[in-house]
Amino acid sequence: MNGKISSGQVFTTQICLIVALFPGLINILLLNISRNASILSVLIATIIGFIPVIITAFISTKITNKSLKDYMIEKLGFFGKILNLLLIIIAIIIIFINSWLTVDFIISQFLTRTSYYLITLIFFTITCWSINKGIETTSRTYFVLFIITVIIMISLWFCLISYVKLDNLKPYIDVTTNKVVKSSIIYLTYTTLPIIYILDLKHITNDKKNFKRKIITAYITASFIIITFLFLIISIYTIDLASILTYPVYSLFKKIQILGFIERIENFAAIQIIATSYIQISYLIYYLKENISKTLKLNKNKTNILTYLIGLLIPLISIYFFKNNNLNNFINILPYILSILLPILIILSIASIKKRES
Amino acid sequence: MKIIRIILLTLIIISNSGCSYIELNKLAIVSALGIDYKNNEYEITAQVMDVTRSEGNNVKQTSLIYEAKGQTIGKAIRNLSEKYPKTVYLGHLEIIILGKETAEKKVNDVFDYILRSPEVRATGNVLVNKEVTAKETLKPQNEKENSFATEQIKSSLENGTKRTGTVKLITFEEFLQDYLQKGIDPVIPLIKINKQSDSKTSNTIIANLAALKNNKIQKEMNSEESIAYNTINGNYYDVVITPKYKDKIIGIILFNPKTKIKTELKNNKVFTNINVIIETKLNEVNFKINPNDKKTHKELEKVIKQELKKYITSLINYCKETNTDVLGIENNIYRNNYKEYKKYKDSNFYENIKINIKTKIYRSGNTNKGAV
Repeated sequence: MNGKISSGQVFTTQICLIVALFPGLINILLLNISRNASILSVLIATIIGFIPVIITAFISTKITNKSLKDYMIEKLGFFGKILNLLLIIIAIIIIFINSWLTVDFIISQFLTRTSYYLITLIFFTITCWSINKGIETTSRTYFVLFIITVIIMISLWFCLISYVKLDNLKPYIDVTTNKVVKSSIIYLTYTTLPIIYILDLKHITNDKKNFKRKIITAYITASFIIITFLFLIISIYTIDLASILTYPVYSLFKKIQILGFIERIENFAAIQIIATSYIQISYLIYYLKENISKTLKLNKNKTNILTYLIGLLIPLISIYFFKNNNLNNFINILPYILSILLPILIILSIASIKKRES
Repeated sequence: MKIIRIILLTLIIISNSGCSYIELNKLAIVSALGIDYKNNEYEITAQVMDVTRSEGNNVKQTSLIYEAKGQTIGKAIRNLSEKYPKTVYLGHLEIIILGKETAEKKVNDVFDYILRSPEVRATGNVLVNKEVTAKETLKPQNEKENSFATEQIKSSLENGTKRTGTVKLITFEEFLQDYLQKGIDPVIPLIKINKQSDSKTSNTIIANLAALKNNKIQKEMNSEESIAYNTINGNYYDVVITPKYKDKIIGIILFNPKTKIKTELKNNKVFTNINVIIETKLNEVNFKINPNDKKTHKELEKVIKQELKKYITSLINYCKETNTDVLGIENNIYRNNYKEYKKYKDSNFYENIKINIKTKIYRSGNTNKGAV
């Protein structure tokens, strides 16, 4: 154990940072706003998204042996601390929303009679326990889970191809340009901007040379995964049916029949939804733990307790909050909150350039 | 520390595995659900699989009928548990039969319940009985002790779709897709009870299709119209038609139908081309012909084309008469001419239709000359 991670593990983590919110939230938002044009809006967003991705990749070349927090403070001083605080708040918000989505998905589809709090406790205790094992162990877990996810995902795509009706994609654009732009912006804020958190892995990566390349390839791969799922949802279900489903991706899995007799595999296939959510939440808890413990200069035991505090408190409050409040009200303001990540990225990149010039 | 972890892990596993656990013999596995609506109440009839082990370790599969009422479908299903000791489980639901009233007044409620329920699979087949209630349809027929309506209905439905082309095996999900789409009226297979006049016995028949428009089941299509619908939608494997050739009836098998509907918008009118390409083979000829002869071949092809054209024309007349759009011509305009859709959406879609059929007989069974 050297506390280092490989570039493959970075690649895995970043894909999950992008994809995690898609099955439970983003697909429904996109399908309802831009309908058939969802694929187009994701394509546009992916192209525009290269700007923050390239900025992130550029910043990554400047970070060598420091965590993201230390790098920001080094470059921007007190202002860096404020930006770091903003990053912490946004990470908490992402965990807050994704933990509700994950637990709600598990309970609504599998464990309908189980308490939300019990599932949260079990799921997040294990998450925190694995985080406390160290980033090397955790990222290996991510990698294994991701390999399983990819194998399942590709097999499912092949099984679903026979249900595709290309006619269902027509009319390709059935909404106004404003709606296409709106859904592109939503997609960008939810999926592309959170990749800033991946920068915190640079200083513990074995293969620092390939870090920049991994950021870009992971972004392209994640976009490809999302576009493929959107294509399958619309072409199989038609937009009218897909837009009224709560979990269109999960509903797709219910259609799968392998060799004409193996069916009802949706619960097995749902591993990928839970795995990607787990990886995103787990990585963000790790980020918070590292950030806060280093700021407060905590010893190992106290850091371990801090992980449980963060990892259990945020999801438990999230369950309590969303049980009493409508998720939709929160979703309306979330893109505005997440868009704060863009100025942070820009400021950080400018600070990095300035240093080089000086 | 290790012991504490093991204890914690054991506690987690025990508490997690007991969440929704019910013994199989305490479950009432519903295979068919009949939904009637009477006097502002839903009447649910559930056919439950009852698997018992008889003498000699043979497994005997029979069915039980559970009935309950409620103001909503969900409530009525819950009320089943008041009368019967087992927990109703809808995870293996194969058939949903809607009574006439439900199909005409409460079809949205049925959709809503099935879509919301995580237990019910949307891959079950939907049928409507226009004449009697769903309850009567599901009750064991022919006074047979082991009668199992679901299996009979399901196999009739499959055979009707694949072999006669008069019905369509439509899942709840497929029905809902058509129902929600713009410019297409869904069709639904009809189920009938044929009561024998001489005895108390009766047969369940799955017969033809009917369109659903504005939540109202339209008149039943005849078998020719149903075959035309399934030909255009490519729903069957092979079907037999019986056109007349030289004033005598011959049997022709139609298979592998492929249809493209093309619409043209000109001068505020919609012009539609229905292009059918279908493969055919001789099935039965009761007089002497030589199918290898070029002239006979062409004549036979002409006869088939005329017969199929007759079927499709009959379907078009059905659409005109019932003011429905089962072929989805409006939907075709919406998809392919989206910008002009608003202008043409109230047009008469079935006014200018041209039917083009291409067919080729390339098989005449195991004999070229015939036995006659």
